[in-house]
Amino acid sequence: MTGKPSIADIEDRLIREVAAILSREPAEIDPAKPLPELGIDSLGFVEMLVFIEKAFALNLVESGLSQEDLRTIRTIAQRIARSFSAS
Amino acid sequence: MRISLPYSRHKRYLTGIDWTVNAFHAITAQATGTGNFSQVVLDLDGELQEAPVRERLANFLAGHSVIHGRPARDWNLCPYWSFPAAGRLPQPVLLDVTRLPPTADADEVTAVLARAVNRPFPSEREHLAFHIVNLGSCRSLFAMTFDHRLFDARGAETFLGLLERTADGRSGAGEVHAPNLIEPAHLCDWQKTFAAGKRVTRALLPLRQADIRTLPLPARLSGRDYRFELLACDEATSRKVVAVACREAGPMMLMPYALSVATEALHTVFEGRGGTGAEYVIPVSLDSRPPQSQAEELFFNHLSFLFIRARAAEIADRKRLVTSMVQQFYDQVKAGLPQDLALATRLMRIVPLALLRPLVKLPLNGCLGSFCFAYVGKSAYALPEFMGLPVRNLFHMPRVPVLPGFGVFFTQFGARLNVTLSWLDGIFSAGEIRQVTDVLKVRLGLRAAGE
Repeated sequence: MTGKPSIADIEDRLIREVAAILSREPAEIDPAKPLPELGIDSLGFVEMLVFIEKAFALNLVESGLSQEDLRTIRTIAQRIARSFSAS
Repeated sequence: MRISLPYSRHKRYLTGIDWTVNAFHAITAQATGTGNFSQVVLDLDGELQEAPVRERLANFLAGHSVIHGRPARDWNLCPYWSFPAAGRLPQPVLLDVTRLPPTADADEVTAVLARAVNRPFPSEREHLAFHIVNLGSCRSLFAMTFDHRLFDARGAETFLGLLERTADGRSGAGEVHAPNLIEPAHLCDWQKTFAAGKRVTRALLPLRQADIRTLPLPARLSGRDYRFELLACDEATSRKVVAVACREAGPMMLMPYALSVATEALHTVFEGRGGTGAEYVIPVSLDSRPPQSQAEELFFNHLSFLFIRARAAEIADRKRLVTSMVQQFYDQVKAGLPQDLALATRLMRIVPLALLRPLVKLPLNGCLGSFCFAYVGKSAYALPEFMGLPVRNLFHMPRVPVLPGFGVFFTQFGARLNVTLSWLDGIFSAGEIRQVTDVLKVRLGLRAAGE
């Protein structure tokens, strides 16, 4: 990846991935909604983490996350962006 | 003799996972005389009347001839589900009613439900039976016994939801879709299938070499019926469990946390019985369909499996156990094992069931795992009522294929967490069941440690 992606870019990619996991249209995915309310379960969540590792080279399982970090797509995007800023 | 064309409306090609489930059915039927059945139970407020239920079932089931099917094999050797045309449904609705006093305790209720799920169907074209258990006028249970070849746990919940929605006129266009019965034979893409097979073999090879921990069983295991212990958490307790799971396993990691609790609970019995082997290997079934397509993918099995390992010597170290399970869950999903397994099992469809029965146990040295585990997740039946009665809870009672013949199953109805312990009669003593449930109750906050 060249350059650091913006929060909006990250959020957009996460929305598209979650839509694919849930077999829904990206427009139907509200990034501010808690993940369980979107219909994401343990498996869907792990699929999303795997996507994040592959797309952003970031292993969130090993990086000590709080529940707040992973509450919504938006908070995850912010967490990813913070990781890029710190690196 | 009826000839079914490749894309006949009265046949549905079975997937590799469906054929594996057919093997589980044959294994269970051979060992216990009854197949791989399960039961979904709705716990209701108020008395359920037999006549309206019978009428509603008759109307609803008449529209689903697929429920009267049976497995067959095509000219291309691909197994398929052969079912009659609608309108040619000779079978009456299998519905029975049991009355218990309002004072009946949980054991009495569970015994009635267990009898229901342990009863074979009267013919090879019957795969569903319904049971009403009335406890006076304040409480009743509605149970649907189903053949796992027809649908999986999530499919069964969706089917009940469809029954409720269709009958009360709430199934507006677009809300409930027609179930998807079209499944190609998947006889192409051989390279892709073989590549998946190679990856699965590579993933399962370490399991074959592992020193798998199995429970020493009585010399003659004569039990044919399964027994059940049901643990239901209220909403407040369930919230606490989710919070503990979040703390110990991480956010959204209820499944690996539940598995760690089940392993810890059963470990007490393995230890007491002098279980052989150094490592638990637990097949974990996963629902592989996206939530949005649950109604379309109602029939048949949309599952795959993970294989989670736990060293017996490390069970007491909860932090290590939970961390290891989360990591394995992540690694196997990342490696694409569930998808590969679903693809690779297509290759096994050519194998006749008589040969497949021992073959499915081959990777784990003659058993299907140290014990079985499933986390069904949030129930697909999300309606507040059934036949006008408020739904208090929903739980499952599966008959676990032998060996191992026992397992732990977590389900969630709304904000409530339920746990079912299922075992073939004779595998555990009453004392051992108490041991297991004691650990489960402590971990689920239903009892304080040392109480």
